Amino acid sequence: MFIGPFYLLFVLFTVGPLIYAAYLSLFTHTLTGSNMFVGLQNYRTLFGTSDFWSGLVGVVLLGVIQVPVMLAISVFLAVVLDMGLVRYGAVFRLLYFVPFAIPGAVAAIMWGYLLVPDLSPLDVIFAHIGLGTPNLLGGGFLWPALGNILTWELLGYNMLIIYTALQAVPRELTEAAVIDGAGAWTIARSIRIPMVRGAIVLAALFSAIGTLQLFTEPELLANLTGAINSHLTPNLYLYTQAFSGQEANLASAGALVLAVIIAVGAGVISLALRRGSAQREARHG
Amino acid sequence: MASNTARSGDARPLSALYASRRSRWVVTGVCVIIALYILMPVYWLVLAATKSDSALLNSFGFAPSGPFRLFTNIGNLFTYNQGLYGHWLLNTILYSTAAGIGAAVISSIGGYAFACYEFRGRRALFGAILVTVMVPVTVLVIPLYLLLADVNLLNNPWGFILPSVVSPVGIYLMRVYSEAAVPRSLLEAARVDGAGEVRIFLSIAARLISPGAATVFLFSVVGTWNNYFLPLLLFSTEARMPATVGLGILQYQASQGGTGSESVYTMVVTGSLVAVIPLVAVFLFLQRYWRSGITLGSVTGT
Repeated sequence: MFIGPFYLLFVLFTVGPLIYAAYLSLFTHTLTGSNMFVGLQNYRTLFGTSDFWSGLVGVVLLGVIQVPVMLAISVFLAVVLDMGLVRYGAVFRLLYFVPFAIPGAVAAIMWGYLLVPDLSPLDVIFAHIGLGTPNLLGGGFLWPALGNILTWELLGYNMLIIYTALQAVPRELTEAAVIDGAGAWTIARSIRIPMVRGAIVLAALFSAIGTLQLFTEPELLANLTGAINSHLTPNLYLYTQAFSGQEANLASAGALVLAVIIAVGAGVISLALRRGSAQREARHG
Repeated sequence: MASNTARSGDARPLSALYASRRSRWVVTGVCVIIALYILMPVYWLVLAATKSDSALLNSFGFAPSGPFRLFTNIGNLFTYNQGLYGHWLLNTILYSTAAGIGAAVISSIGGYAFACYEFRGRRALFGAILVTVMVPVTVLVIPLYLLLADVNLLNNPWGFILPSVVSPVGIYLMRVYSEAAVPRSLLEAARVDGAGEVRIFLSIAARLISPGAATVFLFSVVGTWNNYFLPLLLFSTEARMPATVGLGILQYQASQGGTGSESVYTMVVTGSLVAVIPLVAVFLFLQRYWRSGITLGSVTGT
């Protein structure tokens, strides 16, 4: 009785849409307006569409570079704040966390105006040091710009997750190492960080999942730069198909494929990271 | 030696032992640079919202310029198009509060049931939740949109609020919280005294688990407040949109150029600032509630 309300909504709004999408993905819209069963035709179309795959490759490459960079910064901050190497640690913690309360849409708007030529205050600085006015939202700068926004948004959140895990780790081993005369960096690298591996893996997973589903930021930045097309990321492609392209059935197939890819990817990443660290432990132990 | 466990600040006396003064300076410097990086867009936004249309376009973004126009800008923002922005902001507050309350209530009773009752299928049901904690939410948006389109919930606030109430993480958090906060012996004693299960929950358990519920409320409010993708698909009537989607429309208009686009640009900037302030304020004031949510996130990973 107590769990009834949750499961009702859970089935309606989580399981229901997935089943409905699976059902829709097997049909196609005919000119007469009726639905016709086509089996796996939509999946065949999707697998043959380079727009879907190029977007997927794009976000995967972005994730492979952006997530480790961001996590390296997050881990660094978490460790130095946990060890009390900086004064006013509480203030820094709060500051870093602020972007979490800022909508991705607003982050995209702010960074868009900070980077777009003509409006960007960075332009003045670049011109001053003789770099001209590079289009920081175009060409080779586009993906780094997106990675920068994601990093800005989630850096502090990930830092806080890792920091909280560090605070919960017993300190006996650390204290013993201090007495043995180990330096701060040795302690951080070989004692503190390995103990919160789980939290780091979790942060990496959630960040990677978020990057693969990238939508809000490129959708809004597209108003400022011609470099973003309607299939830059898989979700942009599916949105275009479902909303503007009237290809609901194809979009359903795509959403399911994307969900499966992300779920499998998340599983593989977490297994690989756990196994890798277990091996390292075995070597050292 | 003092026993050091999970309390913050324990590290401070320790650290005196093992870092040179120089490396402390370097570390502090890096922390300051990252803090500046985090603050830079916010600083730019606050300054930009105080400028006139022309100053916004023509002055250096990181320095104040011209007369202080923040209140004029806010006034213009709220009178634009018969107060459209006010509608957006109210919608955002309404939708996210409703979703927050819904998520807190439903997660509380569900989490409490998982923690304090044995029932058939309990493990399987909870397993289903754990799976969806990892399933990407955004990937559900398009299927959800297609489903809502077929049951005529498009352009309807409930189409946005009800899915936002479902929080697998919330029910997980409330289960963990209930297990820790509600003593079984208390429940037994109440049962011996003849209290019904509903009454036990309402008059005893609900109060004990309310801090956990506050955390779920806060995270659901933030999630709904910041959501862009789902409401973008759902709402076609401008007056029903939340602020994130409305700001996207304004930003699009500002980018189109032409007459009046400068004043729209000012509105995008001012509107972004106004939409951000309430949440940042809530976060600063309710620190201890989001901290317990984060603690859970880090504990599940270890």
